[in-house]
Amino acid sequence: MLRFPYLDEPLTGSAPPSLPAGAAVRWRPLVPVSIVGPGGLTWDFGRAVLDPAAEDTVFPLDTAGRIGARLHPNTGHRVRWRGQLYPLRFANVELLLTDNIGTWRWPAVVAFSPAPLRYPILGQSGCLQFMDASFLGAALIVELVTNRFFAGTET
Amino acid sequence: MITQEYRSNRARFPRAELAKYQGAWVAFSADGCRIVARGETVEQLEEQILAVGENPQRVVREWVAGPEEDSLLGGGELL
Repeated sequence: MLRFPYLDEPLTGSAPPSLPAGAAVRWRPLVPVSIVGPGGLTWDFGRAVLDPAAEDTVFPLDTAGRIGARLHPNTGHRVRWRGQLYPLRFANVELLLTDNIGTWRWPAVVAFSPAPLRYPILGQSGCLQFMDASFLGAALIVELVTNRFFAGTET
Repeated sequence: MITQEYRSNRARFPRAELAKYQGAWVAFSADGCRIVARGETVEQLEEQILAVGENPQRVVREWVAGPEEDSLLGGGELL
């Protein structure tokens, strides 16, 4: 099992009514993730969002070239991000998650997009399809266990 | 790979210092103690990482939420 405490993001203004009065931060299910290209080039992101509502795992487009990922031929798929359409390009990479106790590494088809993403998105395809996730809302921890579709390594 | 040292130091990184980078992508040093580059986009960040002589494989990238990022809608933002 991998366990990740939610990470805090400071509120920049007053707390909205949905948060306790005086709250100074929001807690989000953000996890560090590494993306590995076919030649082993590895890019680390400190905060990627685990999002069961996202259908794909999506990284900034620039990342693909930097890690030497070979993009699949353009399939014409797009994503609407904050009202605007952006292309999605796909590639085979490896993803790596670690809570510094355990480490998982697995092959995945992920998307890359020029959409101005705030965080890399760890969605269903490429990430959450391979694991069962528990979002512990009181403890503010997300727990991940691999499932039968996981085809990577656990160390 | 992101280390425990990074996670510990990043968690202690001064919020006042981080606030200087609101709305930007930043690259932390591998130990999580310093911000070594910033950019408005990931592309700009990568250029800055190289410009300051950092090894792109030895930094950790992160978006610093800006003042307009009050509420994250997750997958809802894709609609």
